[in-house]
Amino acid sequence: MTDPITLDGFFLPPPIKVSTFTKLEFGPVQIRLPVLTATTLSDVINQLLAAQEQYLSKQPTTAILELIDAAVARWLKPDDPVREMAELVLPNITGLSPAMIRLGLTRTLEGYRKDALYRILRQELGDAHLLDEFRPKKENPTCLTRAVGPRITTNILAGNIPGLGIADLIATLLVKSACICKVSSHEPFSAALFAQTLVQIEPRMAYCLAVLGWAGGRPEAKSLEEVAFDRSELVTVTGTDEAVEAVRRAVAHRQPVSGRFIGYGHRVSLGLIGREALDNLKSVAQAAALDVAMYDQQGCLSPHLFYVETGGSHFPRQFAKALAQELNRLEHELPRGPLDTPTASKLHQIRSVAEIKQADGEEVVVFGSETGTLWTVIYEADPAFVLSPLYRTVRVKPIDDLMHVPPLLESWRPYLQAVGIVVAETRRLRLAEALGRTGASRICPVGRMQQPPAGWPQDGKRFIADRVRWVDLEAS
Amino acid sequence: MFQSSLLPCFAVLAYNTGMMNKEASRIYQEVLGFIRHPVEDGFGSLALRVFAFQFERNPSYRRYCKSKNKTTATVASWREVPAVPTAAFKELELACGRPEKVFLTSGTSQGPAKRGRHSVPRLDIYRASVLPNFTAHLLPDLVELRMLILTGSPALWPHSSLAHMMEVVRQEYGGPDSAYYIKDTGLDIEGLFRSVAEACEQNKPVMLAGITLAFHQLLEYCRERRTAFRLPPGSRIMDTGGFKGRKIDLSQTELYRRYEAMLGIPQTHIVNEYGMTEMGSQFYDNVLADLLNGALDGRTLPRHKRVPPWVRTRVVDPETLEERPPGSTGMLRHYDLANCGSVMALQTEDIGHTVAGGFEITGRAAGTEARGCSLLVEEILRTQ
Repeated sequence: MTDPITLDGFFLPPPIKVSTFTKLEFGPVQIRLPVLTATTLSDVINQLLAAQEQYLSKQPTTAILELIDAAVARWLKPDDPVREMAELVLPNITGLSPAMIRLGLTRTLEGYRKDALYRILRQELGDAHLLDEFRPKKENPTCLTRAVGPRITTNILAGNIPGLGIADLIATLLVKSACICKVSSHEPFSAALFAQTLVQIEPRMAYCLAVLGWAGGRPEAKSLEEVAFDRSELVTVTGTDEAVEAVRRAVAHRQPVSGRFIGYGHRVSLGLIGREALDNLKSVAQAAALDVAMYDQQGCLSPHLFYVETGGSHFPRQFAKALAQELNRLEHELPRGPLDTPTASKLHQIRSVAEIKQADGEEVVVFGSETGTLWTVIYEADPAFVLSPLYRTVRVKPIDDLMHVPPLLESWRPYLQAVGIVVAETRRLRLAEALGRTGASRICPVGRMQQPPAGWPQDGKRFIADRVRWVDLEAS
Repeated sequence: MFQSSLLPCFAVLAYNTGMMNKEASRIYQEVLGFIRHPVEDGFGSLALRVFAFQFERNPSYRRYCKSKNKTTATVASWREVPAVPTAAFKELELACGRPEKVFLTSGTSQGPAKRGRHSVPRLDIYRASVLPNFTAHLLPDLVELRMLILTGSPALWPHSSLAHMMEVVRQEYGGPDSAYYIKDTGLDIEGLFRSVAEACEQNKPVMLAGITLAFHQLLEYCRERRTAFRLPPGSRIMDTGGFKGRKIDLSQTELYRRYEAMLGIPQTHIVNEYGMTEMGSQFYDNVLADLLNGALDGRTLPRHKRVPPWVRTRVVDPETLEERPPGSTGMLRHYDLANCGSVMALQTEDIGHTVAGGFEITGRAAGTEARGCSLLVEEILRTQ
């Protein structure tokens, strides 16, 4: 047994020093997080605010874009030490396979190159330089307007998708806000590594960042949350509904009037396959399999099941089989990570219950990896929407008409997020209208469910625009 | 003409049914005999006969076994008998013939939608398995105790296997004034509190037995009144563990510390019962039996679950389905002869490992772990 490697999951601007740490264990890797006091956190915030005022607030947007781009470029370069470190460490932390981490990091970060970010700024603000100076309003050119980001933002990050928190960090810096990232105990590494990448590029920019952790909901965390929420002009949180609600309350309590809050809670996604798409059975199944396999189905954009329309050139059951074959193939290219016993047991249970129903003559067909629980496709005639236990377990259900799906999703309305679809152009809009009314906020092609465009309006909230406030200067 | 051609059919049918019933009662008698007088090395062969019986008489189970290429011809050891996931009791009727009683799961952890059904053809086998096991682990000293039962009565909970079990035990061993404390309005906390106080005053030991949630209420009630009892020596607790999906964040160690502090019952007299609707037999902690049997000179082994002679428990790897070495974590799979009328081999959702003489439970199969914005299945189901 070799000793575990200890790495830092935090980043604090100098001269802040912390002497006590906790360690989170991830097999051969230990992640060190500081044990903070309210006073230290207050010092951190003072430091960040000074750096924001002296440096970040004075930088033109283009300069910030360049620096972020340089950091992102390093994360995308296969032989860069930072990238190598991420690839080495993240499989231990997340339980995803190294191949999955490689693909996931590349896909996530590709969207944060400068051109893409510039486009998002222009789309959301109407003008990419509105964070730099007053510009004439389009509808009333005598009136000038500009966008102002918060002086400091606290982002409470989720841990289900590696590197997801980097997007929050980037958005925060783009609006020239100092940034506190509170990491999740499930993935307490990539945000700090990104901050360390920035230090090597431009320390003054990195010193507008602090990455740290505390156990949310615990009594000892309360005083830290109070300090962070009191002094942040914006708090964002991604997590379980409980976590989001708890933070929302705390923020409202600390900042009754001016406090701003963005929360992303539980979400459910699924896929719909039109009968006309079944002519290309293999390619559709390939696309669907990728959506299931990505991040081992841990993302909120991961499909729980696929409804497949009857009356096409193949039966929905054949689609289930094709999907199974593609998942089997992906297991070689993009293997699923190992599971803990409780999770593997759950998958085993779900699969054996379906097998026993199949054996008993119900309209159920189970396709599963030959060994273990690596992937499972359950074809099931019962049309009810059911949640998957995830980790590459997916149901396929036949449906006479895709327009019959939205009513089946009624009780999931508050949770619905992405719906992947493959249908003929002529039916696309009508279907999208119905899904939109049912609560879906993103309708995209199957195969791209886990590859949202960078800055996509998650749950209708905009990447940049919802983080800024507006200042108008009227004509004198 | 019509009648005469049908009659022989009926005759054959009646004859066949008679044969089948005869065969059923033979296997049931064998199991009863084994439970009453277990013979060393007898489990394996009887388990295979029970499997053969279930393969023949339980059509859904037979089809499942066949789909796994397991038949009476291919299964050579009880270890190879296909195990049915307990969740399948929610989906299918898994019985060998007409049940005398159907027990239903409470369904609290997964919403009211689907309840597991365990059809029990013969309650005498159920009873035969309950009593000696209960005696060995809760009444090794064979005393008669007043039982304060923290469940509903069978009249109030007609489908509950736990209420049925408590009634079997109460009828056999319950001292005067034994009673159920969960009523149609919930836990009769005042009545329970009074009975506990009374036992202390009269210096008569009692047995408190029932669901952990009710014990938790009692502890809270005592705490609010700033009252702690010292129940007379010999008093004991049997709790059934688990808060069934309720959000009480309390470890067993802490809970048992509180039983000790608030009720004055030492750890050695707190016995956890682990049972399930789908299973005829139960498992109990070793502690009281160890202490009172005297074999260990007043010491007890660390708390673990004992396996009665008519049951086998294996710990298997959920990925390979291979047996895990002692001490390694896996899924618990029970083979219970008392389930001879339904399915003997059960794949539970419980996680644990074997120890000398039994096993320990360390967890349950996950819902879907709550990570980030992905969804926790059970949590959402609870909010519906």
